[in-house]
Amino acid sequence: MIDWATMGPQLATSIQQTLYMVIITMIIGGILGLLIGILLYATRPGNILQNTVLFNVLNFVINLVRPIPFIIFISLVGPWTLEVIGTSIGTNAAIFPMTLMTAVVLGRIVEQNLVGVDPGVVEAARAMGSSRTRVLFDVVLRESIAPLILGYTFIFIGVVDMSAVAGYIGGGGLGDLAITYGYQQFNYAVTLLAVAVIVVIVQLAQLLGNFLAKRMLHR
Amino acid sequence: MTSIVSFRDVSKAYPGRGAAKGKPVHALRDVTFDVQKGSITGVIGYSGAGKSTLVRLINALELPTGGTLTVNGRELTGMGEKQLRGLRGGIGMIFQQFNLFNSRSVAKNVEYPLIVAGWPKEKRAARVAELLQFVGISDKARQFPSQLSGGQKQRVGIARALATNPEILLADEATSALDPETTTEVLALLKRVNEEFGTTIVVITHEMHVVRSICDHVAVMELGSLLEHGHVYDVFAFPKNPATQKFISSTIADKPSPDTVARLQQLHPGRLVSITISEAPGSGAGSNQRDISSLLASYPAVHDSVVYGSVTEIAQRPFGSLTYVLEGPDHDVDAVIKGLSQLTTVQQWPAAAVAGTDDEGAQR
Repeated sequence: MIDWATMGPQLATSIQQTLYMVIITMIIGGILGLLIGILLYATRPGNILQNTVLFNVLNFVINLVRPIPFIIFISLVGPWTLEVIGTSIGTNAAIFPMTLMTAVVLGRIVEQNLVGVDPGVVEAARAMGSSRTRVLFDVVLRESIAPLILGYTFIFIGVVDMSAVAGYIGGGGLGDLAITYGYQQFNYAVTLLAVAVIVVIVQLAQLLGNFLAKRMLHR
Repeated sequence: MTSIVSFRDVSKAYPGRGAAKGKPVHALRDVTFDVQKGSITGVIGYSGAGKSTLVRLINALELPTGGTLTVNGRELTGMGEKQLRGLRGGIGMIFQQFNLFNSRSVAKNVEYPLIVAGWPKEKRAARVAELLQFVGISDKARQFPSQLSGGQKQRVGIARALATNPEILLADEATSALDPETTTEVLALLKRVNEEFGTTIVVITHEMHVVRSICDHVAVMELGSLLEHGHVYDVFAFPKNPATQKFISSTIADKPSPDTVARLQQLHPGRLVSITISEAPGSGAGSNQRDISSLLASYPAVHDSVVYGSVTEIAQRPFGSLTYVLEGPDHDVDAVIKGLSQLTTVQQWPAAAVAGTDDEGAQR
């Protein structure tokens, strides 16, 4: 059973830690991912910054990193985390690998959405005398806002998932709560509680994402 | 008239891909022709003829790989990207799939080229309102493209293409995705653009009626080559190239197909001839129909009846083909055919093909 006197504050802290990790990761990783995606798109053969070497290197790195299970990825980048963050345990230490993984996965999602923009629309803008850079920002990015919002929503859920694993290096959060107080102390109710809160966070994020995408889609 | 676009031996080749690597694909070969200032020029041909490439060379979306191309007095070869952008800004373009920005409202779509061209904000709003009024969709300004019908979308496309007062408007199959009624409306709008603003319009199409209803000049293309070009009436009524003749008869369909000829010969005893109804080249003096009627009337022994054909107008002048069955004494029929040959183009359908079927018919 749940002893609310101790579990109440514990739960509040966990929610705070989860939201902190997820939000910081989404902001930094989100921006990095957008940049990687744009760079991938722009260096494609026939595009503004056409650069086969850079394109292939980025492509390779993404394909290399994406399939690494996150729990292994954490220890893999551990030394680097120590150097950048100053520690390899704790909430901030968890954010570092989370951000890296998010940026890489998002890079691919952003690229795919940009590539999906109707080439006819790009041609129309070019026919008006718009420069290639301008076409990228005014047309390609703008036309893909709605699918990008859905892509970011999709990633958000992945980041919540990552934050749960981060408990492994003392990141805290709801995942840690479920393992430490639920699984290890045979308190199934705590596990259920953590799951319920995670489900609520994810559902709210999905609702917000759908709402924003719908507003931007104009359909 | 002076020329606004002139092609001189212009070629365009793309590097071959995949299996054809190293073997260039020739989209255009040695094209030479002029687009007259203020004209509506049609570029026709089957798909893959090179029409799209030709029109994309005019606004430098593609660059020629050979020859010289002059647009508005400026030679394109050797221009830098920045100059090319300036040139494109002075040429409007509309598309088969409209290519509107779905994330922008109608008014914002029309405003975009003005932003690119660096118009100040105050002037832009007035210009957008004026353009929407011109194309007749002022009430849709705040709507988004997905809320519009095909015809309305193309009106937005036209307003957007005209925003910066271009001297040339390129229409790439602009009515091919529209129903016949909407097509007529959009064509009328293009005609108005040409008449009111003097905009030169280059229309790519595979639909003959588009050329018939709005173009004054036409260029016929096949497999990357320009077969012939000139005034619409001259090219349609007196095509010189056999491929042009084939294209025109396949799209106008006023001459009977071999199947129809066989059927007609079975149904009607007598000789089958198709004659062209047209004005004499460059005469403008009315068609040859009256002379043909008089000739037929002067041979009372020959009975004539029209069994196939149509007469219509191209560029406001009569044009068509009629297929007659001529019955009567052989030497009189010969005389009629000889007389017709002096007035117009006569095609006699060979009787040999008939013989077999005729015999069977006679036995029944």
